[in-house]
Amino acid sequence: MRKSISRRSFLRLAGISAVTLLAACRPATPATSEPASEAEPQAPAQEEPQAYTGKFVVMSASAVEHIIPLIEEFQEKHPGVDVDWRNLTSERFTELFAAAEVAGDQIDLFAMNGQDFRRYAVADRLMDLSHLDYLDRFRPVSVDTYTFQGKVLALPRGAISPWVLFYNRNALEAIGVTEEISTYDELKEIAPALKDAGYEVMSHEGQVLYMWPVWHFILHAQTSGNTSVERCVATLQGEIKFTDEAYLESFRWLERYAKDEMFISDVLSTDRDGAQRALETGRAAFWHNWPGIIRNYREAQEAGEQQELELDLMPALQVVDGAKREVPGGVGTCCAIYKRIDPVRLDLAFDFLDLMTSDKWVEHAVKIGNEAVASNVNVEASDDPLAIKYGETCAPLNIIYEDWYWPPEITRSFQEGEQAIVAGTMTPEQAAQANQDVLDELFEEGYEFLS
Amino acid sequence: MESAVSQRELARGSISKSRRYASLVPYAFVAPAVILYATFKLLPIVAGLYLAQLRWDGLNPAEYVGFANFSRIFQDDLVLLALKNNVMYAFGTVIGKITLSLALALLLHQGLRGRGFYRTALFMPVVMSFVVVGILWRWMYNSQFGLVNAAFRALGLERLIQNWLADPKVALGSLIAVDIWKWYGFHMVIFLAGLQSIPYEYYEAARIDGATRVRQFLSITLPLLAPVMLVNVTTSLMGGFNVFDIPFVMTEGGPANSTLVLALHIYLRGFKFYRFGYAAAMSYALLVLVVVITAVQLKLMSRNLGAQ
Repeated sequence: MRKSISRRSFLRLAGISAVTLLAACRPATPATSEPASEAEPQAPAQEEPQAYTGKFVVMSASAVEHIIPLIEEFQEKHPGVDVDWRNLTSERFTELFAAAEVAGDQIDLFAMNGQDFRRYAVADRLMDLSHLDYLDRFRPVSVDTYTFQGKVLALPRGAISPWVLFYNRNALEAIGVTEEISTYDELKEIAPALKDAGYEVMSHEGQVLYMWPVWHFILHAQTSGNTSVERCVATLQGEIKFTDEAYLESFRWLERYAKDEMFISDVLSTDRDGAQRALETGRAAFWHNWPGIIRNYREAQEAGEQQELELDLMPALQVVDGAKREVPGGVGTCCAIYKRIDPVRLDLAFDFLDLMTSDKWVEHAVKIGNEAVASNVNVEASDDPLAIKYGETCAPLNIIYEDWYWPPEITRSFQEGEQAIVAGTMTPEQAAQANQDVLDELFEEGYEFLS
Repeated sequence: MESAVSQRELARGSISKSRRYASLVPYAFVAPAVILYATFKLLPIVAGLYLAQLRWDGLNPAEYVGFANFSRIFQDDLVLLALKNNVMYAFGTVIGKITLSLALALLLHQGLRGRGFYRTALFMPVVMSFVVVGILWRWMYNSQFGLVNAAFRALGLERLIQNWLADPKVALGSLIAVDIWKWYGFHMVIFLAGLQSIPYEYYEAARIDGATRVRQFLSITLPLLAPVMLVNVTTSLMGGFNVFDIPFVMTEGGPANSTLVLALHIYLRGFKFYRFGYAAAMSYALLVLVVVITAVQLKLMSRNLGAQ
């Protein structure tokens, strides 16, 4: 009797094999392991705990190159430990982190951007670091940034680097302006002469959606009477609306910039490199940016390039009389311990955190970036005259980016709305209403802002 | 006697056993592929249906919400906008790709010198990565120093100079042009294969009957290319509705959502807003949409084929 296997049996068999295969591939460490503080110790109670050897994983938003010497020092101190620095990149940090966590990958430490801090703080993924005895090594403002519900959940690392307005002194001198301008009206007055001299006014990477809210931060700081962050929190708590006058006025100013043709003509298709090149090549006279470009500028100067540019900087332009010209920023990067870390690596994590945020390595980081103000009190940043000017005149005006508080839906809504205002496809009123609609929808879904 | 019978039975048994094993061999050969396909394609499709019924942000525990994610699609204004952009994109690319690729295929089907070179050169964009194509064209479209505007300037056609990616009115059209450029070579090769399968005698007979070139094209080439046309239109249409790479790399859906398409909207909701359930639900909606449109188009075109 011939007995052949039916198609159905085969498919069933294949299905079972697939499920078995998946089960076999399941990670040994469950994704939702208990927080380290509550988990059972792994080593037998009676034996002397062995020093951990093996992989130590840092989930990072940046490349490893600048941190290699630090890692080498750490590995020398802990023989057998292999630091696995995973660059998830700034743009894809959250999605790749989610994938790693769901897959049950080993995660020990965060080295992330400030804008992502809140997501992990709210989701209870960060270990409380309030008890650390070296918190006084940081400037208070930088520790405050990473304090959530009264607990220090991450440590600042690097520079405090708010956005400022860079400009080309050659451009102003070409039209006979020798004094630094400081108001929008002054800018508007000199704009025709600048254009006649072959300069466009303001460079901006308008193709990059996530850069648009910077304009709102700068303008809202003044239209709100320098209470933009407080108003941001109040808005997310439902106490005021995105359609309130200060928000609207910030959008109206942006519209004015666009209608007065202050932006470079192809602003909506200009990417970051393009925006930077516009300033460097003398096409545009002004550009809002963080101080990282000072270093590039000096290097280019040494190489005999960028003859058209004589870089200088100032805080944002005055648009509202009497308001402080605040500049948005913060300590851009922070380090934290994953709350669900395996307890056998907890001591290592604290040790690595201490090393990363130590004066020695923060100084190393800020020198590489030619930064002006470091997160650590005792770290002297760059002695470049531009960096010093920045540190003295702009850094004290720093306010935290509002989008560090916003849920991502609001951030996107602002990005789209501001781009649309400049494109002329939305009015400030429509853009503000769109933001409020998104927030209302979030409230309906149960969104609650935790401060 | 008994032993002879039992030997025969034994022999029969071993034959049936070996036949049974032999019947398993083909399955064993396809098993690795089936298991991989089931694991990495079928299983995620089924799991995705479950995910579409959850509210999950990738960090906090998932909440079962039934079909709420699906009903939400109908209240999402951006879905309608993205769908409209998709329809325009799909029709624009289908018309552009089919017309251009057919015209080039007809040209290359002639006894042209250096035909092989032209074929290869025209096919080149197909093998280029989407990211490379996106970045390349972004620079070419740059309104200040891009090649496109520079070419218009050089030709004295200043009135055609545009902010190709910055103007919401022309941005989608600019992306459509890139998509056409990327894929016309692929469709051209398929048309060429179709043209080569048309017997030469038909043209000879038509010429003897006094048919002009246009008449030959309309009465011989086009009807006999119909099956190939069906393949080209179907793949192109499906590509138009599934497009993601080019808008993602070149405009991120901007300016002012003028190039937002459904796949990009799904990506943003999933990976930027962490609404994985809603994104999964929209993916299924897109799947249904593409299946329905393709089915309707196949039905219409095969009816025409049948009539011929």
